[in-house]
Amino acid sequence: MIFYFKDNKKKKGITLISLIICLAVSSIIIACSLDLLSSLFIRMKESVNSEHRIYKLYNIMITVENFMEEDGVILDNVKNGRIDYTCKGKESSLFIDSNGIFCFENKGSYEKFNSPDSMIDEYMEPLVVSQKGNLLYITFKMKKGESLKCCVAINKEKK
Amino acid sequence: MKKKGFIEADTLVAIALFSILSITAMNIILSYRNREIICIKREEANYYYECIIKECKYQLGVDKIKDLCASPMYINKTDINSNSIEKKDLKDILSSDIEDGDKYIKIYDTDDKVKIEYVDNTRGEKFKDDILF
Repeated sequence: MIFYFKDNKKKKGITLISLIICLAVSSIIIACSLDLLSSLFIRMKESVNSEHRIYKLYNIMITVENFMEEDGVILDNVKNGRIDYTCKGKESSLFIDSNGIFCFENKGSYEKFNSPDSMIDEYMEPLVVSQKGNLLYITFKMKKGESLKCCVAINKEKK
Repeated sequence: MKKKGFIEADTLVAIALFSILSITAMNIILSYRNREIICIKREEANYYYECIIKECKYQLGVDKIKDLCASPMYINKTDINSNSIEKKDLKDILSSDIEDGDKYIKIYDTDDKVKIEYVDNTRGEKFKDDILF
């Protein structure tokens, strides 16, 4: 920016003040814009992650529904995100292991499926599952306080 | 030639342009945030629809919910915020009155289907959506 100062001493003071005000306003605008832009980029990145998580969550939902839709019976209340159940007389479990991989366990045989990568990322807390009758509520809790939820119907018998 | 004023015209134009661009950027960011709030509300609405529809179909029974909701019934803001949908039976949280017009779920029987309306006018953005099943 090029500024011209007049010879008149009285006016010189005014131009300096104007210059300072101009610089201050510009600095504030630049700071606000940069702050808003950086928050926008973070939010955009988060929303992509969020979509990825929703995809994973619905994978879980469909898997649980498929495994339990026939004659699955929940053995006990769901604890620590582990769903123990019997289906066609076999005792099985669905859970997310310590590496965040979604697993199906059937009498010692151990199968990892549906998620080649970890289900849990740095922003997430372990899966929370609660039960009401034959409905399971699966929640991915985020460390920031947000959560992704889905509802799964087990033992589907239309009424 | 002696120049007048303390600032050159092109500098002034640059500042004006910069200000316009900044204001435009701020508007874009604000509209993005508003759209984001609407997306979150839509996600919430879809979750509540899913819970209610599955509970009606596989637990309570569609005929029973049609009887219950012959006149419009509401799930109020307190129950929505405290996750009562996950903890209590649907019939226990349905109320015939609205506590707060800003956030509620309305369930009522239409001719041959049940309609669920989700209204959320909190967090600055108005949202209204419905589904039939």
